[in-house]
Amino acid sequence: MIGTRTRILAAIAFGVMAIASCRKPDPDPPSGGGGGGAGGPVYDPTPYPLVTPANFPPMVIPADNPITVKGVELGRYLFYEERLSGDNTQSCSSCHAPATAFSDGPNAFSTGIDGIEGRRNSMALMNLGWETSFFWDGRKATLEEQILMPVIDPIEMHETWPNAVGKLQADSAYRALFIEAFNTEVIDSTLVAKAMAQFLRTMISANSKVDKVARGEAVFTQQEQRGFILTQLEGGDPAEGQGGQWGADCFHCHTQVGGLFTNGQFENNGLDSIFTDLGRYEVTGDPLDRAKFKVPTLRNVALSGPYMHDGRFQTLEEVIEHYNSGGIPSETISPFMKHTQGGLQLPAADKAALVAFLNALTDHDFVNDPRFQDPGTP
Amino acid sequence: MLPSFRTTALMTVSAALLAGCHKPYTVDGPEGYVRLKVEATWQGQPLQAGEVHLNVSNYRTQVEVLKMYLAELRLTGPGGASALTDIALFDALNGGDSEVYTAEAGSYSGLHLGLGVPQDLNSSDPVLYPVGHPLSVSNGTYWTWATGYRFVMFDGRYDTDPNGTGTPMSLFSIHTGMEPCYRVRDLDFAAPFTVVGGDTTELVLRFEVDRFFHDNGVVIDLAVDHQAHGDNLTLAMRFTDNVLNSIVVE
Repeated sequence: MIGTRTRILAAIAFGVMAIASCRKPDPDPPSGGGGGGAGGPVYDPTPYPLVTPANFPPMVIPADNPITVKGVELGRYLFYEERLSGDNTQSCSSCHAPATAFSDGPNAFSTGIDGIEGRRNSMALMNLGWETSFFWDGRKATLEEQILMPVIDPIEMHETWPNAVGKLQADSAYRALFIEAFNTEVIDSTLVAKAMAQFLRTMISANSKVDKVARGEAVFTQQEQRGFILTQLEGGDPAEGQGGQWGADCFHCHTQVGGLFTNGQFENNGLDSIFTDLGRYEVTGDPLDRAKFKVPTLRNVALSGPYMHDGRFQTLEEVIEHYNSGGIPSETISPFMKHTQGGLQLPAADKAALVAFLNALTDHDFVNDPRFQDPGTP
Repeated sequence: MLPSFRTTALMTVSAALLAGCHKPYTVDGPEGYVRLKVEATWQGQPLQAGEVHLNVSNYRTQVEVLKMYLAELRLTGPGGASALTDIALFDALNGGDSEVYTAEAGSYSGLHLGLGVPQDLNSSDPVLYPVGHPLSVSNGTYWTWATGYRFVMFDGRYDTDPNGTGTPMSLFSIHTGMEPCYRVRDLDFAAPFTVVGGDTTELVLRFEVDRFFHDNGVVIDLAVDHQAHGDNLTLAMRFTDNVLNSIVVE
């Protein structure tokens, strides 16, 4: 079976991945297109030319929030707007910085405007248009809902929406931007969230080396190729456990197909036997959801450390060693963590190969994309 | 070669999608609605995720995941047949899952179904399906390495000590998939099932989970067979038969 599966994997590496997108990431959005005419700002609903990678599923965009050029422009300003915080010192980007794949590395926890640390690691932001839940515990189902939360969180931006909106409303530049994007100068939190959601949906990462290999523009090194194959093999010794293939067993949760490298589910990956953070349970109240957290993407993982919901691991090597150990048994550990006794027993060369593959998921074009950087004040 | 593969996949999916737009099986009359409910039971009682029951091996067994694809769903009868859907994904635990389908008004004597994803859909390109579609990759049901879907996902824990306490700590994870595990079954209704134009009628498919572990005297012993992830086809096929034979229609 190993040989069969290895052959299949080789086909995946050079076949299925190769039929993935030949489309390029988004081109620069067109400039102009209305607004700011001699008579003042003008509503401009020009659709944003969003081009999604062909190896991704179709993006479902809410019917009441189509992506427009002006909406994205406004959302970008708002993402970097410090006046959304109580003391005008923090924006979304304070904990989601481009250089760390829009996470808060190297901090395990982010510090809010009152100097208080949060309790979960800031998640990296990319390809959010395909997500079906947000936050580590999935407590919000849409981007528009998620965006409303950090502003009013007392340990984050610690502001009220009426105050935040009031500050934007008092700024003529923002009033003009809202007219251009939404045909109203009456700003409210819903429109702020809509604009920011539009911007975030344009933040597509699909130009890592792995993507280039998929498009036939690059080839893996032998080490990267080995790492990729390991991600797709079941873990463990076949003599000791059913199905063992001496692999790293990443594929169950970090699903490669669809380009997202997450299955979008909630899992307990064996970090603890005594739970100090109940994770998904806090949302569902289901005891089976204790200590389950959303499976994050592997894209740009080399940039987005530290790792896990609590940032306990500083390096990819530590993460791999955790999985190699098999994890800690508990009442809710994922059935995919099958080797709590004995671990995966990966040799050092295979662990290094996994790191090499994960590094190949870094998309420098994405994190350096000028369209996603701080635009300054409007 | 590659463009032709992709083109073929696109054509296959398009054909499958289009197939849902017309009615290959028709009965004269207006349309009604069928609410198809899929639920799991253990010895006749609704099964909740996390409950611990003794299975046929006298093992304490806790089921946590039971999701399955059902395909080719259609009402059948001497007067004709009415297609409900080509493919659906159900979560059978915790009271079950339901979907509403249109159906031709009429009287039916049975239900035809496939357990799993039929070959034409299983070989289609999963990135064509948006979030919300049963075959969307966001459902976490796709096996990248096999370029196909998991058909039935059955996960949980067990303890070989029937007198044990607390949460069982040994894991089982039986996932079926690939063509040999796709099976069809024709279920007969005990009494005619009538679809009235404009009305909604409920049809319940009950999966008797305690029977997943034994059928026709053959026992699946979790202490021996507790994992199938595409690599243990013998277990996967045996398990598929048990699941299929456990179905009761009401």
